[in-house]
Amino acid sequence: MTSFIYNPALIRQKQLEVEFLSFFHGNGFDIIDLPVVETFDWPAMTEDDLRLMPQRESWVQNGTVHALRHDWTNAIVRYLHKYKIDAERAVYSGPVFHSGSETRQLGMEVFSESTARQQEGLSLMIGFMDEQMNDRPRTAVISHYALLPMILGEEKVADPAIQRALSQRSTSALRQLLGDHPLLDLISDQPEAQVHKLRSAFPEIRKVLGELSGWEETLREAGIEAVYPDITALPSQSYYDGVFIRLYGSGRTTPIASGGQYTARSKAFGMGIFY
Amino acid sequence: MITIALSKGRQLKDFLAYLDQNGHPRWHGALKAAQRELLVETSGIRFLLVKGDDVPTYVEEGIADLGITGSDILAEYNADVNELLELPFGYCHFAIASKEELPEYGTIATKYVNYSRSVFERSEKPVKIIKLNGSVELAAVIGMADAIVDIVQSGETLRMNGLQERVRLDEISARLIANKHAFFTKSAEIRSFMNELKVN
Repeated sequence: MTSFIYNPALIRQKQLEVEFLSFFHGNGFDIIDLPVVETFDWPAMTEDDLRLMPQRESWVQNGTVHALRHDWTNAIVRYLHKYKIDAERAVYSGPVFHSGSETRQLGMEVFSESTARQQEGLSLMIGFMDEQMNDRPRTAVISHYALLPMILGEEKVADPAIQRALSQRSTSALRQLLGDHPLLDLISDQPEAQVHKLRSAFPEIRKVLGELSGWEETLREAGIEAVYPDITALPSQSYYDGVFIRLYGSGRTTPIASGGQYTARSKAFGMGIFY
Repeated sequence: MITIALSKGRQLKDFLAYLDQNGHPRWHGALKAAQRELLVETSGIRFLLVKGDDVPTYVEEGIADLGITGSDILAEYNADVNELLELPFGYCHFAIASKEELPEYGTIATKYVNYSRSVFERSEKPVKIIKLNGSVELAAVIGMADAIVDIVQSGETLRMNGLQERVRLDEISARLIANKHAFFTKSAEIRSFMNELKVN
């Protein structure tokens, strides 16, 4: 016997997925899909794969590691290491699994070096959220992963103790580890004032700060009320190498969407909504 | 208005003494006057008085923007918060304590399971860890465990129960933690609070 339970929330979720895919398809994005179960060869696992594995739902069968999809951009980057995607812009929807729980992701990727094309993707994303989702993005935190290596040097950024102190914004720990480094002076300031100070303290990073300003402008034009720069952000995966953006709804403490610039085969920008 | 979660008990006493010595009569007065209240508001700050173990949860969930808790709690619970400052109070340390000195301690009773595991992994010694939520000393007194891992301030509780500190482990002090989102959205208030704390 089959039972039927009418669940308006479930229907709305399915409708949202269709609306999202249709909206982006109507704006020239190709709809893509990838298997929810990913396979890994032991010897070919990268440091990124290994770092993420404890958070993934994984199992070993016939000598091969299988894992449920953890993040769409991650799955696409892994796919791009093996195969080509013909589309220049792609859109997707589907479940992702983190530390024992399932969420759903709606996302888009722009496989283009053109910042203007990437920013157009971001504007469409915010436009869709504004129109179709209950939880509209109000604030954004924006970082650029090229900043810290330029400020501190590659060696210091690779130090696990410094990485921990940076990720926790621990002034005390950073003071112990870095001494009187100008970064300490910077992070004791308001985030809004940090970029200005950074520009005068490190003239060589003006180009990166210029890129950051361009993205900030895109966010503001798309209706984001407050944009906070985060100069001490560290990438969760090594392929993220440019701007990274987290979008927050009103009163929310976890991002409703996040994404950034990465390199896989070529430069790209991807962003996913968690719902 | 910012909301700050504070540990009740010994750490609150240490915080009050610090406020008293460093010229914060309004905060000190309001917190000291609180009898059984768990919520105290003064000068644009809402203090939540909660159990020490729960401070990181209140901050991580965004109920509180800031929190003051011990580094022992942060070492045990892997909370997703910003650990902004080491504060100059709430000093104590982790220690291994036992009734008799033994060459190796095979069974350990503790409230700090994750921390203890990391200590014994560092020393490459296999150990059985028994989780207890309180009166940990009793486990070593009655032979349930060879030793305990616990926080020690004066050592008085150990002495009263016939135990001795055998190995001094990591130092502990109070820490100021922040919600990762509030760190940006309430940066002005958070920095103002940090400046007022006058921590060098």
